[in-house]
Amino acid sequence: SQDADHSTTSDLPQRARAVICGGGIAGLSTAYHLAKLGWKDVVLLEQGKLASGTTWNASGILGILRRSHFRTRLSRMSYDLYSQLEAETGIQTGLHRCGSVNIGQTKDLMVELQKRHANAKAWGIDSELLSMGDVHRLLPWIRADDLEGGLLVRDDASVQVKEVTRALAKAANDRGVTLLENIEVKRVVSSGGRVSSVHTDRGSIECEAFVNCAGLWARALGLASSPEVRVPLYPLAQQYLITKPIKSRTLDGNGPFVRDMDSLLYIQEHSGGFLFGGYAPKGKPVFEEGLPLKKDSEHIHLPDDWDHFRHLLEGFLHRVPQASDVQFEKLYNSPESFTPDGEFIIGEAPEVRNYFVLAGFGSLGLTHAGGAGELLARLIAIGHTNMDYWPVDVQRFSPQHNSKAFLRARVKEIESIHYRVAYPAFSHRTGRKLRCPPLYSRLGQGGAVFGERMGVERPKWYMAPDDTDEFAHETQRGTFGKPQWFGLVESEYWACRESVCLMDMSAFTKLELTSLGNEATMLLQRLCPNDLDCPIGSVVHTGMLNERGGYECDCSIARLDTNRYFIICPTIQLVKAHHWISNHLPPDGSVTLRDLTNQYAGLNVLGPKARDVLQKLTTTSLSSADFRPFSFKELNVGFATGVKAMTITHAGEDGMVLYIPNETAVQVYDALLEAGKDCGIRNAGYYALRWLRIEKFYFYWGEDFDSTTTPYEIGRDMRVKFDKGVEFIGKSALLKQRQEGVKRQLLGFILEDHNINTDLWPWGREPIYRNGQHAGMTTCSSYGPTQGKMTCLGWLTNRDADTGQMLEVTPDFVNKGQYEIDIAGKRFPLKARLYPSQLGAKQPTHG
Amino acid sequence: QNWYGHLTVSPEQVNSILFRNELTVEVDDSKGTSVKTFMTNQLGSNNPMEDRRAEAECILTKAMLFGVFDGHHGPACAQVVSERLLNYIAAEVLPYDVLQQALRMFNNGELRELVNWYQHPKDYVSDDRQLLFRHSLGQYMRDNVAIDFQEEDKKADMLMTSFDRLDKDLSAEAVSTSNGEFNDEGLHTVFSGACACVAYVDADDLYVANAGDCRAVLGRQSEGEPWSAIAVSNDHNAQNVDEVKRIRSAHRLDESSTVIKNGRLLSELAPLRAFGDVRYKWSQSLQHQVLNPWFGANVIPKNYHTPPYLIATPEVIHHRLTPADRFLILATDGLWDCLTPEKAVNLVGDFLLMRDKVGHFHPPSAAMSLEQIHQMLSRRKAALWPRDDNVATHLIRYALGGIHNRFDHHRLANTLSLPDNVVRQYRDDITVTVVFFK
Repeated sequence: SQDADHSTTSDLPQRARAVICGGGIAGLSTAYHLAKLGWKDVVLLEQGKLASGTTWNASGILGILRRSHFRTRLSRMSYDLYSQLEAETGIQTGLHRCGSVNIGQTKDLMVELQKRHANAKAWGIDSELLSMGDVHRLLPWIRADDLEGGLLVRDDASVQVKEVTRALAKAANDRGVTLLENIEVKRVVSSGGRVSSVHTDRGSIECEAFVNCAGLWARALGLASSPEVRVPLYPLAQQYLITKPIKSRTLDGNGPFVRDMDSLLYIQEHSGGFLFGGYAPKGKPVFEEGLPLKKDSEHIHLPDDWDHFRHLLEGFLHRVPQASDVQFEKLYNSPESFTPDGEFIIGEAPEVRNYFVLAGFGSLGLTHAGGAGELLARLIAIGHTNMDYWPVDVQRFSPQHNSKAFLRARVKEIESIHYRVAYPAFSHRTGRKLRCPPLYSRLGQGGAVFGERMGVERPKWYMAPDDTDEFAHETQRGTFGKPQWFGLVESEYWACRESVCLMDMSAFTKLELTSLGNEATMLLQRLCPNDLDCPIGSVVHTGMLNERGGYECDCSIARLDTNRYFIICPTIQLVKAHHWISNHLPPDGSVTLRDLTNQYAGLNVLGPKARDVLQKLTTTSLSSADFRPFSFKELNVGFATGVKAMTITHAGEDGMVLYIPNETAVQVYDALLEAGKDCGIRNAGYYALRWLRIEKFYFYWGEDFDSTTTPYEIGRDMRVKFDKGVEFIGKSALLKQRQEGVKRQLLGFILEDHNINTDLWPWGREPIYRNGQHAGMTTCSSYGPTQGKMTCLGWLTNRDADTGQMLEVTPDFVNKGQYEIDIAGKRFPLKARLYPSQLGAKQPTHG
Repeated sequence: QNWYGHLTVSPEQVNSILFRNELTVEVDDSKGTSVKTFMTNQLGSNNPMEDRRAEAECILTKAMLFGVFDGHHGPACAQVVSERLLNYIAAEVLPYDVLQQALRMFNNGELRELVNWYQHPKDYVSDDRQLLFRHSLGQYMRDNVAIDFQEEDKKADMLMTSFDRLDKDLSAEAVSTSNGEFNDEGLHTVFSGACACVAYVDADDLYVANAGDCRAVLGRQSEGEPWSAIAVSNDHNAQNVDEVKRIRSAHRLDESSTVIKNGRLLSELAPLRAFGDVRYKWSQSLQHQVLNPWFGANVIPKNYHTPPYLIATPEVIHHRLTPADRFLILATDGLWDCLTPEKAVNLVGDFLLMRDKVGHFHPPSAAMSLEQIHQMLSRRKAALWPRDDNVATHLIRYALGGIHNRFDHHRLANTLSLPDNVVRQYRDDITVTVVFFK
């Protein structure tokens, strides 16, 4: 490019350690950080000019405070990077801590802003809640009379995008990265399941690692490798408008930028006028006919679409009344790629080893790419990161998520997701029924209101069959307080505790591991800290740990036979668990791993009468003496044969999960309903399961803990068997931790003095204070009808107030603290519990 | 379920039916007329369709003519009127000196007609009768030249004269036979009838001559105002009090209960003015003599005492066009059965607003304020997005398949797939012409 001060030689090297495709901010950040980690031989290929895809069009907003701690950490890493680049390269990046004001028109948004404020306080970010009057004083040019208030985040910043990318390119180049422009990557070739070379229109490069940072083109590029790599993202049109200067007033250009999230709008001062843009309530997918290639130096942009911009113009004119007479300078329209859940995509592709992806930032590339590039570089160079990145992991998607039709449908809804009020237990409306289990229609007839996880439709709760869809809609209305579905879930909960319920568990990931000799056992013994050389017919709850002792996956494994195991993993681990195990399969092919997820329906029959009801349908004795908890039997149930029954319910109640071959699932379900009629059998959804499991402190992977969590930190000491005689992965890390003690602990907390009818509920991600000092965050919570109290699960850390050092969390430390939770600015006392209360078979006091 | 519930017509088939007769003409700027564009379309219900349309520009003046014709008792009369009326009007309105010159050119064959037609490729032309038509037109011109003009007549009167003259010629041609044989075509023409609504646009003067129940509506929009529909014709039917009064007063007092009965002329004919229809015009004796041998003895309507009961004389409304007058809708009653004039004007208004949707909206001027742009965008949002490039098609589509502010394909598909034997009970022929002014 004309202003390039880095080398862009057109000689394509024959080989490189890493090839990065894409010269946007994601690719440049990854390249820079790889070089910083000592990788000298890095080649970055850009099909057009550096930073010409969508990066150039970014408005320069760098919002530090995000909804999740993970993304807040990333944006702070980005901020630190951009500020450090000035010193490193001498290029002024224009980084400027201008601050931001989120204004709230609705009470619900104010709740969310109060929650953010509470988080900011816990995470050490400078923020302040504003009243309507404060907003008016701070921003006299906006209309404030219809506002409930606002949140000022002083740490939010803005930056000159073009300069940042220029600086990144220079810094990467200075550190030895080869940056090549006008080279199109055609295909990524692998051999033996690993990336071997990259074919371009100028020849090919052999490489050890390939990084797909191709932005808009990332999905297409993924499909251009063999096997295909899934990068589910789709471009939407994103617009912003720049006005002519406003004559009647002076803007100093240094004021905070404004987010009017109820109007999906952001407003910035810009050259004496304004720059404003935002998100469409219904996004507009572009490039259906295929993506344009970027051969020339032109920036990629779309023709302006005023009709699509109307609602933002309306919101802006409402918010800035004095701008009604001003003329427009230009309406910019450029594509941005969005993913099915609005989070970006990072990590090693499950399909090809050493194929890495970083894309799908959905207009937040500037904010996250600085940090994400560092994260990815560590993953590539070191093999792991110290931060869990599951929320953005490329492995969080199912194969169906890469369907073009699905993506087009879903991203319309996703565009505005970061500006919409983040109600708890939110369900996507579009792109549904991606994966429907065999009982889907039956459960629908039974009044199921479905939610979706990993594309699978699962019942959240059940309405009475004569309730209307309108009612179902009503019960799903977002709220931060007591939800509309409360009574429905409560009655399901009691049915589970007192009689018998049927729960669809088909979504769970089901894998089968077999071998001729004892290779399968040997493999599992190496993968799992628990002892898998157990009696045939037992079910072992274990995890699979990485070298650092963290849970790569959490599972229940049934030993069906000497050399045959049935592995049940959480729904969301469909790809991840399979990938983890298959990466460790012996190279000689002696162990076979099969994914049976879509071949079996899962039906949880739980409650004190579960065994009685099931017994009517089978001749095998199901008494608790003959079929003990945590064991496995293959049963004939009704007309069905080969039903895999495991005496675990994932809810802590008596009963069992049946894994039924798909084709017989409806018959078994019907037979169970009939057999259980006299016991009052009924359907229950997974919200009831949540209540049951949270009350009993059952921690879930991906929600409560992640790949950085060790068994000791979540009270699973008993499931680590050092003495089983096999060196399992993570053993040394666990031994070390056992020596040193844990620095954090996942606990249960019982909420006191909280009125579930009038107070806001905790929903997870609330800060926990111990003796007035921030000591952790909740992960999830639920109401426990037996105790009549809210239970939160959450992390507790022990930070020395003076030195900031992390100390051991001992039972003494846990028991001796005074705990509080901050729910949207209001503090409630908590009781910390290492173990759940014994709920037993106690009859409820409930009417 | 409807008996036709199993019939399914795809959206593509619907389009192919709707597009069959559409015509869009961008009028050449060099013509110096105030008409910018016109769009027209027809959808038949009767088989053969009884509606006709015609558009033409006058050769010797800058005026333009647009007509819609709603035939009844067969298409014969509407066909002939559509081929001849505009020539008659052109002949009548010519200034005396131009008329003399035109007659000279006409006589020596330099001029075959007084108008240039804008034709649809499927337009039917009665080739075998052109000689007769030209002969009658020539005679009309000669008659006009023969009159010693002292001063120009008013345009409105001219339009009335030309209508009357054509109707008179039709009658005369039907009666005259060279050898006493049955004058097949001439008699069929006048045995059937046709309402006519013709717009004559000469610079900023708009004259609408209407005879019958077709209707002309002007779409007007002043700066920042909503669209308004201005009627520039009156329906001549039994709902029109003045019209009923006119007919009753023209006949004997004792006929007042029979001359218009059950909302119809002599209990039979819905429109109260029309070309042809000599059964309501000719004397009993003439009908006995000419019609009975061919059409039977029951031709003469009941209570037929003081003919003529029916006239072809149009009611002419003059309107001086202003910049706010954006377009004129001419349509047969098939459209007005389904749409109010207000709705039709709004639909065309929205169409004007949205017609650049393919090339997408762009603020017409960079000088517009954000507020002005926002108002335009809001109007576009409220509008029904047309699927058609031809606004006449858009109106027909909405008339048959429109609900509130959207189209219902099933309604449209059901309407279009009705079998021939019942379709007339659900909808009439529809002819729409929309004329956009500069």
